Amino acid sequence: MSHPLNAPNRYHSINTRCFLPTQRSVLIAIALIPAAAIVGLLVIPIWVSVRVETDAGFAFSLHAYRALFSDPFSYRTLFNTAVFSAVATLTALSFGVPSAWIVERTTLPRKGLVFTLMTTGLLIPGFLSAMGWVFLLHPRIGLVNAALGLVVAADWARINIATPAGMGFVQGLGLAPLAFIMTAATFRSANPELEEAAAVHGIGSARSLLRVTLPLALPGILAAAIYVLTIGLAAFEVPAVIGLSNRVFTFSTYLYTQVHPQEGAPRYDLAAAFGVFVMALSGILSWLYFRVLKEGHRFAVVTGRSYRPRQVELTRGGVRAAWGFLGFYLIIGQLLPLATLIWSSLLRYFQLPSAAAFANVSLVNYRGLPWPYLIDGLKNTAFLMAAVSTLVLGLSLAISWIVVRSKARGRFLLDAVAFLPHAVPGIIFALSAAYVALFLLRDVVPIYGTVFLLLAVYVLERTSFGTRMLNNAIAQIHPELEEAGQVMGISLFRRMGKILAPLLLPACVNGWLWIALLTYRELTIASLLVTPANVTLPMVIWGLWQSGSFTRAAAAAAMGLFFMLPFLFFYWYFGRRLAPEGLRT
Amino acid sequence: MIRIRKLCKTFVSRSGAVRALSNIDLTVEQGQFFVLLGPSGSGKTTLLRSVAGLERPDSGEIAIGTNVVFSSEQRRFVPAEERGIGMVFQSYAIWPHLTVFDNVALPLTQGRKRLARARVRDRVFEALKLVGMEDYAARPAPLLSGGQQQRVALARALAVNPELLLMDEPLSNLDARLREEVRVKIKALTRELGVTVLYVTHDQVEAMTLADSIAVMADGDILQAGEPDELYRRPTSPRVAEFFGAINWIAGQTLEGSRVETEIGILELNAHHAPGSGRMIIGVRPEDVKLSPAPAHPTNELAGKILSASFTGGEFLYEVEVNGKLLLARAMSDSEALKGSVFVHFPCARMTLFPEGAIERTKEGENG
Repeated sequence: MSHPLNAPNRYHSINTRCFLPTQRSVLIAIALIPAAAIVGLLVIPIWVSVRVETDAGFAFSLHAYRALFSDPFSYRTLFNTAVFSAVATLTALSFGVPSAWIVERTTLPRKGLVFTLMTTGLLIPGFLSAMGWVFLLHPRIGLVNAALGLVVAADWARINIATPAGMGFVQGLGLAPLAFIMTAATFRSANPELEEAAAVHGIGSARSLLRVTLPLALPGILAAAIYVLTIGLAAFEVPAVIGLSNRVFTFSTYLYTQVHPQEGAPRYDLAAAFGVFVMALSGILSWLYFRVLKEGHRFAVVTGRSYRPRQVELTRGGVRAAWGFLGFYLIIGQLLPLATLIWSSLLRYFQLPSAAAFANVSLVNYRGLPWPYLIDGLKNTAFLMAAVSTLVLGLSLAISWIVVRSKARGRFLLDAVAFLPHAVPGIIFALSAAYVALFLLRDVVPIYGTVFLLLAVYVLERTSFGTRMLNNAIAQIHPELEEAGQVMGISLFRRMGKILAPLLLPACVNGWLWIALLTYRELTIASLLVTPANVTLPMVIWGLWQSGSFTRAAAAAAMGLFFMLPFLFFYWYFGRRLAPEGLRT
Repeated sequence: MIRIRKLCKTFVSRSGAVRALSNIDLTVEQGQFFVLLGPSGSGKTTLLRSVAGLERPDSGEIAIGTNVVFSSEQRRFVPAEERGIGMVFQSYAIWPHLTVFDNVALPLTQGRKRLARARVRDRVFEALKLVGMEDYAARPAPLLSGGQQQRVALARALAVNPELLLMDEPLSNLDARLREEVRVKIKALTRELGVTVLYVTHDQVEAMTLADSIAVMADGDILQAGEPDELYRRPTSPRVAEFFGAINWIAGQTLEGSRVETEIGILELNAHHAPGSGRMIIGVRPEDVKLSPAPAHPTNELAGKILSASFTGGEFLYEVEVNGKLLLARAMSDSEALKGSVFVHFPCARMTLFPEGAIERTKEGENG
């Protein structure tokens, strides 16, 4: 009797399906849509900056650059931006790097908590902390300044936050978690044998830290510094909250005021010219970043073996000092500004905590909120969170699969294009998108003022993060798992659905929540694209702030923090792993 | 079953182009167990993956059965999912998010030909029974040992009822004892099912025990193809000879008739060696170097001296000096080890001849 498995084969006929597009080409087409849009949005500012309208149509002209670089105001803005981003980087590193070393390389008890708090710190909206800092350090009403005023009456004894350095400090506090996460990875992957070699040869631990550990970690720290600097250069939220009302401008707020001037017509040409200049700067910084990372690999600190890095035994005093340092950062970097914000939301006008002030605590600011508007914003934000995260993951899966798995020609170019939004400031994307929607698409697709414009730009912006995350996640899945399905007759889409997707699920859940939370707090892109018809929650809060009703803005902000809590909880519950490296905040 | 003609494939990387397959011609008969044997980087896996459809060759033609699945002339490339073959991967590629049952069932429910639910169940259990894993059907894949994963991979490949089964170093991740056990099982099972097998390995013992036919590959070329004993006894190049185990090389020069003057003395060769004229090298394997304490053969026997004897379990490995040349000899260990002066016999049927320079050419090939 013939064995059942030995029955005649039925897989003889092979159809090559010449006429239908293959699933692979469908996938490539899906991946090319965002890639083309990204390239388009980056070309637009260049085009806008070099054209001038004439009677005959358009002509090439460098007038925008001439106007930009002959105006002293531009130079003041550049100088402000330089001071702002330098102070931000220094602040971020001086809190982030020691914290990373403490968490990764010492025996500090309960340090897992630090990781959780730092990851959360990345998600706390920077503009909320900035609002808190204004309440703390405003020259007149600031809590700290008022306290100082009790001691010294003179004006010089006031800390003014509304300076480039002051804003840089606040921005740096917000970027410290990023510096922490990036350098923690460096400290974690250090080869303990190199330090053991130092110890065996009689080099004490303090010297070993200075002579071996830090030099080895230097490329990683430098890379983090460049990365933080790139973000600081184009940061919008802190300068928008603190600087705009005090007329202290940095690059991104300059761009904002050119497009939304208080008087006169928008100057897209000037904004675009400045945008192109900063794009070039960001490009150089990104190139430097990769150079430094590559140099770092020459040290071959990572050997692929799994080991636990050597940990420095902390004495009781050491533990106290370490927690003191970490606590100091967590309090002034995260807790104090948010607590101040909530305190302010409960008062009709700002005052120091006192018995009299406590007597005045009320919910009047909350009752006075423009609730219908706020709920509109909340609805739009909720829609964007769900739609952006889902679309980003879908598109990123298509792109990452092509980049990592297929052998399609030009896949590395596709990867580079998908990475571009990481390197280019979000405000430039917004500028570009506003221009496209207002002037190019107006009559074709009236998308300006709709939530779909925000959706499109958010998706393009976050695809850089989605592809970084999925590139890593797919690369960790053995290619033979997919090939086994392929050889046994399972089509590409079914392989993705039945094999790849389940294996990627943990990474995807994590990434989905992360993107949703970043969408929740997004203000930069929204600032140029939001109209009353497509308002988002952060724009409602910022709008109240801009109109000068600070305490009501604080109430709206407190509501914003409140709505965020369930998502933070989900993120901890599902993720509880560290935020993927190289996140854009 | 498989017909491969003039197959070429070049990989281009940053460090330059690597010729993975150069003009490969190969035929595998229906029902044959065919082994591709070679060191890493020889192109054997690329050849297997080209047959599977996981690599796209640059030029040439591959036919499976009556179907041309790749032809550069006809610009034809049938994707892997439509070739209808079974494959066992080096990593086993057991889907970690599924149970044993679902691993075997997935190609039957999601593949090209989908079966009804009840048929799937039967087919999965038939396949699992073949490899003795039917009791593990409900077990999640991550809880399987390496050997169990290997069996599930085999069951999954057989469940799609393929005429052609491809195996890529399926035993290399198993420990030595298990490897031997599974080897025997694979041989029996594939013989029983009558399936054609194309099997890749770098282990010559594995190749010889499993194969009906072997192709030895190096640097993207097939050096020699044939039955195992043919490759072992009558290698066409020193490189193939060396690949199948240790061998002594003796340089020589033809005299009149079938006599050769070698560096250790005059040796008589068989007529079938058909020695040309001029210088040559003779290969003789350690087990064919016969040692005896007293003269035992009329011809091809030379005096030698044992320098060392190592006991390896079933046999002794000797180092013998014959006229100043060091040779390796292997003998059963059923008696005491030999010592001191011995007589060394070279059976003429067991000697392989190559023209001088063949070894040097091989070395150059390896370096280049």
